[in-house]
Amino acid sequence: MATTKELSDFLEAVERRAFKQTAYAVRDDHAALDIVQDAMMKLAEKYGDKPAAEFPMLFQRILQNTMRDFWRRQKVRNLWTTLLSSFGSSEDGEDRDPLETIDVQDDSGEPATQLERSQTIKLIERALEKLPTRQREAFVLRYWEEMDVAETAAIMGCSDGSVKTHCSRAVHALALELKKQGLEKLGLSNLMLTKP
Amino acid sequence: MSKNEHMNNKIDDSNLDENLIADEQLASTVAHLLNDNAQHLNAVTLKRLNAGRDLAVSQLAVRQTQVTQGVNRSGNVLHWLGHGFEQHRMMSITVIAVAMLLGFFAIQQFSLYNNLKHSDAFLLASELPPEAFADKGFNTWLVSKQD
Repeated sequence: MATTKELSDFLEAVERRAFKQTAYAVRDDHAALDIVQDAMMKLAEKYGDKPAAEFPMLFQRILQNTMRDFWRRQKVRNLWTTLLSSFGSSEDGEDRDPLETIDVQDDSGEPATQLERSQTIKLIERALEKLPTRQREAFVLRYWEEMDVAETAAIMGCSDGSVKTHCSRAVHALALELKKQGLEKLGLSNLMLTKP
Repeated sequence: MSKNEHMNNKIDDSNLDENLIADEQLASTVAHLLNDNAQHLNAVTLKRLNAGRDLAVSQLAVRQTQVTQGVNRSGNVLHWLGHGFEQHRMMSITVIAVAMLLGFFAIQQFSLYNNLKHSDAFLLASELPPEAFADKGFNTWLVSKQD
């Protein structure tokens, strides 16, 4: 049975990555925070009696399932919204342009290297968001969470072969997208990975 | 297979390996960048994550306390019984022995009542002569009358 300190240490180590991974998947920071908090609570409530060594896999599994629950609720909500909106009309009679909701960050105050770095990160994030769900899951679990193929397959509920296929396709898709954006070769030294 | 075809195959395999290595390196680099970026979150997000973590940890603490108290509660009942038995050993043995004897006598009385109808005392106490009970035909008639 894990102690409260072990749980606290584990969650502290994983919470930031979990938030970013969820944000890429659901594309909504507030929803991502709710999902991560739910996943933390579920881990404590249902698997608090497990040893701490099992927490990484359990937490990732819970996180993926909680994201799927979110998508299911979104689907139902969108269905009702679509049905109700078809009976009424918008106030000004014009359709909202979805591009208007995209936040445009003002980067003019940042030094050049940091600006380059943050822009590169944004490109990578967008490329990751564009990936199909399963490919993104496989990529995140294999390369970001550094789980092996068997662990990734257990969390995703698929075979080892499927994991390898998803990973391969994800990497190819990312490489193509980044090449399109002019980032053919990503070198650590070029991007100044020191903290801003 | 000609020598040229064999060479071409080797070059293709080598290119494939290079591509795989390049892909792995790209994936590793991207993951590293993403991880680095994840360390720089705004204060509001960090605060919410901390709050979620604290809530989960306190939930685990409450759950573990409840489990411990539950074990103590059930353990205490058994302990109380055992402690009581230890304290009043002779009385406990006496109570159990008396209960067993009473049970034994109750069973005996019950079976005695059932046997009474066919005992010698019954024969002597009844109004009919004893020879009547030796007559099987009369006995059959008597049983049928009772039914």
